[in-house]
Amino acid sequence: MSNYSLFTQLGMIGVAVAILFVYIKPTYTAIQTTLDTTQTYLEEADKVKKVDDLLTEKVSKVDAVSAADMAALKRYVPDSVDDVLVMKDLQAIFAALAFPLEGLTAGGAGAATAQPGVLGGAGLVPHTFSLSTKVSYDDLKTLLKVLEANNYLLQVNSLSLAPSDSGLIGVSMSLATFSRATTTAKAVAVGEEPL
Amino acid sequence: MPPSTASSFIPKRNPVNRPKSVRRYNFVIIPILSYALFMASIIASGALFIYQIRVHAQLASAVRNLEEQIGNFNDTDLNRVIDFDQRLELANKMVASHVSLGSILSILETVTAETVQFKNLKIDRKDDHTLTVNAALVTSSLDGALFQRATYAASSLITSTKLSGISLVPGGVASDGKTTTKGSVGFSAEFTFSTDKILYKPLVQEGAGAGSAHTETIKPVSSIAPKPVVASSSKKTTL
Repeated sequence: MSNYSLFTQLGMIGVAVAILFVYIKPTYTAIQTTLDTTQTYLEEADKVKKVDDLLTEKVSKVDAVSAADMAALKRYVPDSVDDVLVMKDLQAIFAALAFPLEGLTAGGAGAATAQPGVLGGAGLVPHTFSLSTKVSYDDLKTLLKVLEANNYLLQVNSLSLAPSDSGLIGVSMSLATFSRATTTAKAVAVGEEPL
Repeated sequence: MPPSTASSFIPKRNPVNRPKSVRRYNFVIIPILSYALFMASIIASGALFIYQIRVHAQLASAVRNLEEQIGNFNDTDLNRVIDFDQRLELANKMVASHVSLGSILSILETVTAETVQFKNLKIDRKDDHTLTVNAALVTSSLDGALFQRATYAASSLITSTKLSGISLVPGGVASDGKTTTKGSVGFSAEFTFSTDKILYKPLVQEGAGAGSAHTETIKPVSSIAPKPVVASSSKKTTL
């Protein structure tokens, strides 16, 4: 050891210091960065796994819903509403109840925010219809019950009753049914077979 | 008297000529330090190089793992769940605002005296939580109107009642002098109903026994409108 000259010894110290600053320190910093990055990747992978597990759980819940219930849900909240089919349904209801349908008009689809107070602003597109008839008071109550029990929502937004000359009640009502305000989902229209 | 030093056989050193002690620097520490530092730097470099390779391998493994996890993620399933959730939330909102207008008519029937008649009636949905009913009523006397006002005010099912435009048409003898006409009192009423009091209730709950005394049944809707109108199983309704 003592064979080295002082100059050589100082040179060794210099080389050691140079290695420390030129290689060891940057490499150590790089390793720290790589370790941090690895940790981030591991955490993100863990998050993705958790989300994947959660998704699997939710999918199993969705799959547990019976086909009939799913079809009913899609009928209750359709992606689109065919006004003609709804009018046909209303006509069928009146025909089945043997009530005279004096007028039925479709007001078309409103904007999703057109009626903010009447479900319109809740991501639903209202489709309005107006109808008029003349029925007795008891028949009116039956009609309302049947409309309420429909398998998709037929919401009566306004109802006017006035006596008519025939002794019956002249009824004018404004109805609304709703479709989901979406363009991404595959359309399931009212009246169509469920997917 | 001081002792003579010249007589001593012991050689005496002249204090002036005393040799200076040569101070030797300890250069032993420098070779050890230099060797240790050099070797440490070499060993540390080697170890660090190997560790770096290992850390890079770990990073590559973590990246592969993340890519696999992302690859395993099924967008279709996610869209299916989102679609179902959105549809279910909308259905809940719709069900929550699904009111029975028949209930309004029944409530008005219950709280209206027999002497009071409705000349016309208009129900309007103000928003998802409120319905207003405007009606023109007629009764035979002011006492009847007063009684009716009190009855409406006392009803807990009606959120608010406002009577206005009261007009009295007095009775008397007709111009022919023979027939008498009855007097009448007309007034307008504005009722407000809260939707939570008149929510639509399915008539027959699923699982209810056929002979249950507490279930109201009506003619099956499916029998009067075969295809378009059938019970919604999502509402747990069987008609």
